[in-house]
Amino acid sequence: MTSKSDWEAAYRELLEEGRQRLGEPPSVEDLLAFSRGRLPEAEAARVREFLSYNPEMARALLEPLPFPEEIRPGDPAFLSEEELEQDRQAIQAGLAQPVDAGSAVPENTRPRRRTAELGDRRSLQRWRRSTVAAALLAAVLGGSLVWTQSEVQRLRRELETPRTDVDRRQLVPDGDRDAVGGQEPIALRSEADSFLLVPLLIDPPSAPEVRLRILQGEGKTAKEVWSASGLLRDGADLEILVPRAFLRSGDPYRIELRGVRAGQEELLETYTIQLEEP
Amino acid sequence: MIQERRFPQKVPGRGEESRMDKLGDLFLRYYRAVVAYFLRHGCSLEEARDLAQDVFVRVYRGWTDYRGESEWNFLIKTAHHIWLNELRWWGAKKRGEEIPLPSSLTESMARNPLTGEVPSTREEELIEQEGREGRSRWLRGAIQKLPENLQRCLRHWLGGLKLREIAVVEGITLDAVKARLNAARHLLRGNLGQEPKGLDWPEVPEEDGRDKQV
Repeated sequence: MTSKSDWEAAYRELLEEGRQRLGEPPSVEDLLAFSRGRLPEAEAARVREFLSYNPEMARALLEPLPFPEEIRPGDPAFLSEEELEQDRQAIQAGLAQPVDAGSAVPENTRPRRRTAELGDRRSLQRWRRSTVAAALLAAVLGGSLVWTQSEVQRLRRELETPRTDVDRRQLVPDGDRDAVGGQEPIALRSEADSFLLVPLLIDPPSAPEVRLRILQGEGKTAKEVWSASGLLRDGADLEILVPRAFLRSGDPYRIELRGVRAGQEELLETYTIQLEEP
Repeated sequence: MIQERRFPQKVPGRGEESRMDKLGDLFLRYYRAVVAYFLRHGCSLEEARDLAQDVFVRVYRGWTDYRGESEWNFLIKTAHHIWLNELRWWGAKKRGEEIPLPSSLTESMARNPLTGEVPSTREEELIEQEGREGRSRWLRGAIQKLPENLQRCLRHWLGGLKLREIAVVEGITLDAVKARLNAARHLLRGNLGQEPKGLDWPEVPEEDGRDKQV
């Protein structure tokens, strides 16, 4: 009477025999061409034969390529900042190594093992385990860095993607807004992605150049957070695209428009804006 | 403070610096996900990190192959390529070496398969081992008498591939896979002189496989 283990033993023997008989496996290029159906039948038959003796390879070839996972703290792949830095340095060391002539990607070779570095990592891990306090501190700092990194990624994505939620606002100068809201700052919707600010000039300046300043805060404590010089007055409206992330909600910002002539500045208008609290 | 992961190494040539910046950017965004990819394939963390490093080195060196596809797609294709090469390497290493049997099997070798009892003497143990090897040889011989296309299908199936996956590898329909396995079962019955028990054969209606040309 045959059992499952008898079949398994027979199967393993078949694999061993087949692998020895087939010899050198097909190249990765041939395997990939086979998976795309772009291999001539004779070679495809050889790959099929090879795959029937290498189920792990068949599975790897069949699997769909995954989407990038979001790696969270606690996941085995969630490397610490220190480990990331080690790996970054290892990559840099790999880049410094010469490439085989005529081949940018060495084929049929075992990838390098950076055993010396692995030894370093192991000793580092042992040391880390012995210092619980340091680990706790690292966890706190790590969490903070994770947040920072995800924030950087979010902002980078924001910058790289087209946007439609732009709030275009014509700014009436301070002192001229009595009929449309007194001297309260001009409120900006916090939901908007960016603000296209168009400061209106009641009396067009005679100065050939204009300077813009944005100050955060009020009165003498206000500090400059951005400025631009050498803006030309060619009759068109002046437009300033301000990302929402630039403004801190609740804080007033004063935009100063200054005329520049022969190195002399003259304050033309001010406009005070405020991002609404969410 | 925002921590940058730049690769400041200067490499001669046009655009090298921007490639380094780009590599740093990819590292920041995807390195952990590439490590996760190798972990999913059963690598240890250290192996996964080594392989992920190779991915980034190759991405840098193979930049000219980049055709404007998504960055992740480019990275994961490189990772896939490296993983296949890794499997090839291990496959080559395995050739000529004895493939160890799974622990469940080696443990069971010391027991009587019918009663589950541990043999009391060394002689009984040897007799049992000989019997097991004989059965394995007998099954192997029966499989090797099958037509090659049926053998291949059977090997895929014994290797754990799903029927749908076998269909893709063999370039045939799912029904044809079922028919081939059914035909293999019937032929094995003839070769062994008894029903090939011990396997969970896929259920196929008799008329689908017995007389069907496969």
